[in-house]
Amino acid sequence: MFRSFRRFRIALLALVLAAAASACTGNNEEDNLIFPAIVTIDSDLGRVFVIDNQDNGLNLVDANTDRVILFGKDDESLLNDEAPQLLPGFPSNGVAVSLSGGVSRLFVTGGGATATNQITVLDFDDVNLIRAAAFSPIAVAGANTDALVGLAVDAAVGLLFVSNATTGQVHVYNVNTGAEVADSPVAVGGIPGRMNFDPDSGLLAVSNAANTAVSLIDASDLASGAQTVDVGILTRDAALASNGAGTLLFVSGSQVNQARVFDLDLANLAASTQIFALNPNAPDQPIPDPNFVPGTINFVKAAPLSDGRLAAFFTLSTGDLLELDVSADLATVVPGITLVGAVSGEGLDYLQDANGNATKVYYASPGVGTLTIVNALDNQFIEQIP
Amino acid sequence: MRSLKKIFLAASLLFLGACGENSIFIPIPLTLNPLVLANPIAMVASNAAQRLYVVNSNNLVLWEDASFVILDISNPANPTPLAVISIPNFSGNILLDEARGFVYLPNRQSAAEADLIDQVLRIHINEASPTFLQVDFFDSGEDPFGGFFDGVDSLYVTASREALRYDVNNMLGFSKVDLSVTTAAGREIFADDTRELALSPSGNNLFVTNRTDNMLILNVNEMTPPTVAGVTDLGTEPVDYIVVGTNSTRGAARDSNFVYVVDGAPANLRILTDAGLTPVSGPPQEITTGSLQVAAIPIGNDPGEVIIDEPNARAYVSNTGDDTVSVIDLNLQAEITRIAVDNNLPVNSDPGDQPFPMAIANVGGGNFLYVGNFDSNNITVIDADALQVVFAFPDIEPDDEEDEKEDDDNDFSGEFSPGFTGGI
Repeated sequence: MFRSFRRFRIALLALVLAAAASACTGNNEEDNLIFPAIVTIDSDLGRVFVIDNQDNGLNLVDANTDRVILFGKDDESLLNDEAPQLLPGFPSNGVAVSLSGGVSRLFVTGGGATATNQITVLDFDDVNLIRAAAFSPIAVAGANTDALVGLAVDAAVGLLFVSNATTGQVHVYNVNTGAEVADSPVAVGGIPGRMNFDPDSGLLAVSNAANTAVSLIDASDLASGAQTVDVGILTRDAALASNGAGTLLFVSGSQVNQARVFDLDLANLAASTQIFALNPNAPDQPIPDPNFVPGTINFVKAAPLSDGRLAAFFTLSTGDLLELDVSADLATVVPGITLVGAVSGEGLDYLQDANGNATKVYYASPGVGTLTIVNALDNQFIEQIP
Repeated sequence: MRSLKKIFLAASLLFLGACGENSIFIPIPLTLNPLVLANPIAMVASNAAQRLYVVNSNNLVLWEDASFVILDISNPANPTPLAVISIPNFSGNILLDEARGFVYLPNRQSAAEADLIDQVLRIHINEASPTFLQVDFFDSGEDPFGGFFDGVDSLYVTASREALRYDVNNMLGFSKVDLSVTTAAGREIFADDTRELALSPSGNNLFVTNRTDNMLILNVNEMTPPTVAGVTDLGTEPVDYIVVGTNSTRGAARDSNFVYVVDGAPANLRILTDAGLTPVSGPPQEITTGSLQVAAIPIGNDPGEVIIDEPNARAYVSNTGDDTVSVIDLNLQAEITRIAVDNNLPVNSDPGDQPFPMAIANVGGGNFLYVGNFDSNNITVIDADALQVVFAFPDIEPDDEEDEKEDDDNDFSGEFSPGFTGGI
């Protein structure tokens, strides 16, 4: 009887909510983003995938209109807690790659009831929508409690990289077949974390939470193993960007709240030089000042811009976006913050044009359930999707 | 049905208050088999003694009184109750002082608004002592909840609008810091709902969490220990900083590097350092999280407590609203998984509802996490190496179990939340 009473209360509440919704005829905004934490973009097909960190939530945003695409007769998210559980119980990272036939392939890691040393692989296209790839999940060698932290893809060659923080290795797979490629894994040691691939230099940058070395892996020569750059701090994330003047390494600190930039000497990595560092605001310093960092520096993406500059984008724990814009000759680094105040800032990715230049940055804020969009060229806020 | 139970309990509580006595409830059963838990609110484990100590708060007034339970964890996956005693209702934390053979419990038995003095309980846990299980009572501030023992001789306690410091060698007096401060910027801080505290690894600063306003940081060097019996009033001067951007901080812990603070709005575990802090004279200064924080890690819904397992570089956070535990890798400073206490359970392990207190134990080379479930009144045992639930005890009533399985709304806003003083 009590259970029936509860259902009656729920039904009554639903009626009240429906009545309220119908009264608000001017508001068509759906709140689809519940716990968005991971953003990955298939720029070729103009698809922005936003993955929740729980409850099987996955939304698809049209990069042209910046609107969430809804599915089914009830206009629902691509995946949600009522859909079949395709995502890991608690996703922690994800990356997308464009395949032939209009298919976007998603690789997602995370924890939950299943083993954590596996990569869930999902395919999406406009006709078949979302489903698990035939070879999903990819089992990564190791124990079933290993932490897979970093994910990156080399879209041109079709390689997927995943870092195993427990074993200190980076595994490499064919994105089309899920098969581990020759000369994988690559040992990097320590505790490898987040990582990013730079298509211009062909290098993968791997952060490390156990030592101050950032590993660089040449995707075209896995057999040579990893080289390292000492960045002086433990790192949470690392990203590369290149132009005609050189290649820059951007890192966010782990255990310390810092961002650093290095001009890499690819012929002699030991000769690489730090060209910029951003430290947190001193505790007794009046706020704000021009370089004020209002929260913790989280994750980073880096890319060239259409005007020749290089840029790095860092999410901040306050839900703002930190930008480091570097002049085309790599001589000047200009920090900036797009103050959005989205309460939290986690995963991010950028939309790129046909030449690989970043045009828009998308970042997720699980605290308030929003996706914020910022112009990559001028760092101006564009809009926020609830 | 659980909601109706709570309505009934709330009505009973009101009735209790109206009557001015609590004789309509029966005493909590002090049986070892079956073991009866009542809103477990704090736990701590001793690796050396292979014991798990559990504090039942009885926050929802299921019984007339609360209890303190000692369990043998020599078989860590299947603890055996050894002893149980009655204690006053509404304790908060438990602080283990193994060297002296005590645990300390901030306790707020008195719910009367006019009563400004509650107590700290000291329970004798030396099983070879003739005073084993003796309970001593010491005056405290109003509604104490959190505590921190420095492992030497200082016990820190948070109370409503106050932070207290005891010398555990003589607990007849305490120093008191007034937390109802106005910042240098002229803003008044609401400190009625201070919650827990942690001493920074440097030993210089005490981080005091605050459920309904900004977190406070106290200069420990100005928070001198008591030298006489009674209350030594230190005023507001030890309060040095107010941390802007922390909105609903709850559990707190530390390791040798950082202070860890659970924030509920938004839900994240803040990893903080006091490396850049300098003493402040006069009114406290407002600073932002950016001045202290090295990471903010998103966690589950309505998080409660945090516990640190430094040898294994892990932090665990109980997500009370999600019925999960977040597992944080302290090297990566990232959540590596969550463990549900209400589903995907082994056969014959009852689900848990509203996980709140936790204790970590290393027994026989294995690591085990014990999670007290505030609402289902049981304890979930997690193999922390395999990251899997292995057991839950004691058995809960079948109709309650059915409720826990059905209870998927993960929302207890408006219900009694662990540690809230409003419902007591």
